[in-house]
Amino acid sequence: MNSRTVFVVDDSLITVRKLVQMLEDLGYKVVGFAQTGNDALAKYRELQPDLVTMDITLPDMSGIDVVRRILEQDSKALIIMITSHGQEKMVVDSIEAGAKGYVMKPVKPEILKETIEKVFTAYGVNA
Amino acid sequence: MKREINPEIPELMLTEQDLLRFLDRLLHRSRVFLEEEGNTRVLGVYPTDRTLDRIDLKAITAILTVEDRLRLIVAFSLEQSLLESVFKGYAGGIPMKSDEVEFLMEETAGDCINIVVGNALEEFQLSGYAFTVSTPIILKEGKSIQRYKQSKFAAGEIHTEAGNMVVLCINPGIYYKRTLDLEVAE
Repeated sequence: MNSRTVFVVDDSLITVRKLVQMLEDLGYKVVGFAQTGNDALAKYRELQPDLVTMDITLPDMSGIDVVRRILEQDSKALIIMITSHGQEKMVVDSIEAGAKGYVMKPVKPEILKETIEKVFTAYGVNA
Repeated sequence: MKREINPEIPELMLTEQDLLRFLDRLLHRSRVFLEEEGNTRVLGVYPTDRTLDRIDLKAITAILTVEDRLRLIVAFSLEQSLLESVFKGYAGGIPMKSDEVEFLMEETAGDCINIVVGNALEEFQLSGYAFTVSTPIILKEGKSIQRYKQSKFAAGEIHTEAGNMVVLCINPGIYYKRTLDLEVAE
């Protein structure tokens, strides 16, 4: 287990559970999760994770808006989008908003790890 | 979540051939999901070469809409035994309490349609068209749906070792609510 922390945001509880298990199996420490944008914003302030995985579609606001608002709080926040195909335009919007990468559903552990490690390496977050 | 529609670009209404072609992509991607994510063996996939006038839904139906210039309703209607099998494979040993099982099973149906439609849209190559995909809703009611006015129904079946599933596309979907009831009075 390394000490790098991850915060999971997704409206689907089963996806949250799957991602948490996958991230823990990959050696990351999951410090919390949120299923709405407002909850994500509140918990981000409290948890200060090294990285956030962010769903694009949330019930109260879009994941893109959450990305923007987290970055307003913390300009160094590292966020990757978890998205389905067919949402490419929204992925582009997310990256323009400040997300550092994306992973397509269904999420494969090797792709998730590769994406997270690229972001951590690029922004100097060490294990 | 809805984006602005450019009024100069007409709503995309799929031809019967395009709708059947999209259905074919959905059936292919559904098979991949059932086998790879749901760990459920598929015995046969049965597309159709024509549109239909009536569809009978099974016990559990996940529905989403593809909106904006492409207005399309997609529904996956599954027998309970098939959903249970897919859930077992998809959840793959994640921790859950006994009172969460039914809800997480419904979310599995939602994840299934969400992922499959996303993949099918990509393969269908609707480049140039902007669309948004709604969050799925779950219907627990085995009912029949009749075709209305210019709407077209395309449906195919997937048979698995654990039960059967109907994949349904309705285009245009403007005459129907997301629960598949008619939006307009007849």
